[in-house]
Amino acid sequence: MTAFRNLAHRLNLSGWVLVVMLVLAWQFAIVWKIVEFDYLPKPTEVLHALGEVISDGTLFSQMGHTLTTAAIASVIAVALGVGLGALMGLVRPVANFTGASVDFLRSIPAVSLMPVVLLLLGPAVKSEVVVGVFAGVWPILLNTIGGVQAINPRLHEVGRVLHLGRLQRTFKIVIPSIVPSILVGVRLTVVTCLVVVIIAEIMMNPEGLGWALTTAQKSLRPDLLFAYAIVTGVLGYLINLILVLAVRACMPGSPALKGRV
Amino acid sequence: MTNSAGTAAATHQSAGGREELGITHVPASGRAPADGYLLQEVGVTLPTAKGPLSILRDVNLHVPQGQILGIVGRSGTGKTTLLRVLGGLLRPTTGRAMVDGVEITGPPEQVVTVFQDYASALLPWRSLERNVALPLERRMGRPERNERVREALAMVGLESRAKDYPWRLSGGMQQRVQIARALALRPRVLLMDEPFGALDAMTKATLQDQLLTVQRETGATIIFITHDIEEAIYLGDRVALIAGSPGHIPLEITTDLDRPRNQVETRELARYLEVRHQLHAALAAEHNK
Repeated sequence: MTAFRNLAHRLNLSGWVLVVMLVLAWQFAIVWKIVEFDYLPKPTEVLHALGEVISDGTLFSQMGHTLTTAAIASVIAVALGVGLGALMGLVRPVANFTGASVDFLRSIPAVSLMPVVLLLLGPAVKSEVVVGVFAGVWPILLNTIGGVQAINPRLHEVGRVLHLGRLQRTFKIVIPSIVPSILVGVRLTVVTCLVVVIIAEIMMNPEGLGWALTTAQKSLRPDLLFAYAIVTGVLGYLINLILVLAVRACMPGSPALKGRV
Repeated sequence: MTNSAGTAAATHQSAGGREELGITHVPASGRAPADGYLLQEVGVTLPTAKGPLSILRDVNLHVPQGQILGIVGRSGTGKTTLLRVLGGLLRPTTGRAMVDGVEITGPPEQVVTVFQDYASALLPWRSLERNVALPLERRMGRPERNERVREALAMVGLESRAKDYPWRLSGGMQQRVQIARALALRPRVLLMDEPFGALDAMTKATLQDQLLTVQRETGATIIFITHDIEEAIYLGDRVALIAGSPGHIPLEITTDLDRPRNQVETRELARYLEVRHQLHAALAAEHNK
């Protein structure tokens, strides 16, 4: 019984009750004609459409494309963001030199760059990656800078009075200090990259989940449209969950990373 | 306040008989002893928003190797700044600061500073033994390192908590870890900035005695800062009073108390009370100036 209670608590069963109720309400709102739209499918139809794309394999090939592209964009964004962020946080001239550009570029919505990128690079995976990186680099960059600046100056002095060299201070004090901030940044970056890559597929590149969404819309298949929309939501949720669990596994007992999944 | 004021205070004290009171006056200049610390006419001026601010002025100090020196003073008299000069974290604006005859340009080898805020001076992601091992990595092989870590933790009585993390320990224990980390380097000089300032009276007494034991075993010079006159006398071979703004050292007293010291008996000795009286009087005199 306690085992069941623990499991129930971990899965947050009470939270799922609301989800089920909402889906039921949706179903009966249409069945009983409480709401009437030309293209609003019943959840059962959505489920059927989902089964269809799962069984013929299109869902997984589209998902594969989107996830691969988002992963490539995330890796590049994280590498760029951590490297540049560490430099900007540690070396004042670099921060002064780049500060204004970062503030300006950061306020350009990635979506508004898509027509430009489409014109320059054409409808290809590299266009998706470019806008994905552009959008995803900011969370990791800002978190890294913040992490470096938040290091207590005392720790730098501790490194000096214990006679650690510059390299040792960087690897033994600076980097471990900013790991929690970097992990938070990675979470945000990965989710941002996924979202922007899907938008890029809607607007530019005829592949992946984004393309599948527009195709379903244009071919008047609302059941399929909802199926794909729900898949993207579930993907985002699962990726966030995996990242949180990975962070927990990496840093057991760290007081910096508390809270529920 | 000028240097002549500082000299006047010392002269005033010497009226009672310098020899009997054990008051020493440091020569302002002269030969540089090859052993221990020597500060000559050290002054520190730091830039602030309101322009340059003079923190220390004309500080002369000689601390022979193996001595325990307590530096007492009110807050804002430049105590911490003085310790940062000794620890090589801050270059003096004027004058010379030397250790073992060599001018201090950065944290000198063989000198380790222990900070007051132990909680931010320990690495929270490292266990106690790995915190203590931090300065030893790259310096020696694993077997020797493990031995030194074990030894340093044993000196402060924390060998049983080696695998634990700092944030699971009490404040007194955390400060002991910081001291162990310094001791692991086997320093010739230990600089301590209000090491027991944030601890309760009982923990403080225990750590004071532990520090004296460690000093007896290692023969290290210990220079510590405190705002607690009693602590300075109890631990020190010598007590220096720092006062004024900018800070200077108007008075130094050799305590002349036997070792080992005892928390109850030492504090009841006539000589202890005499030194305490002089320091309080001098502190009040400096304050009313």
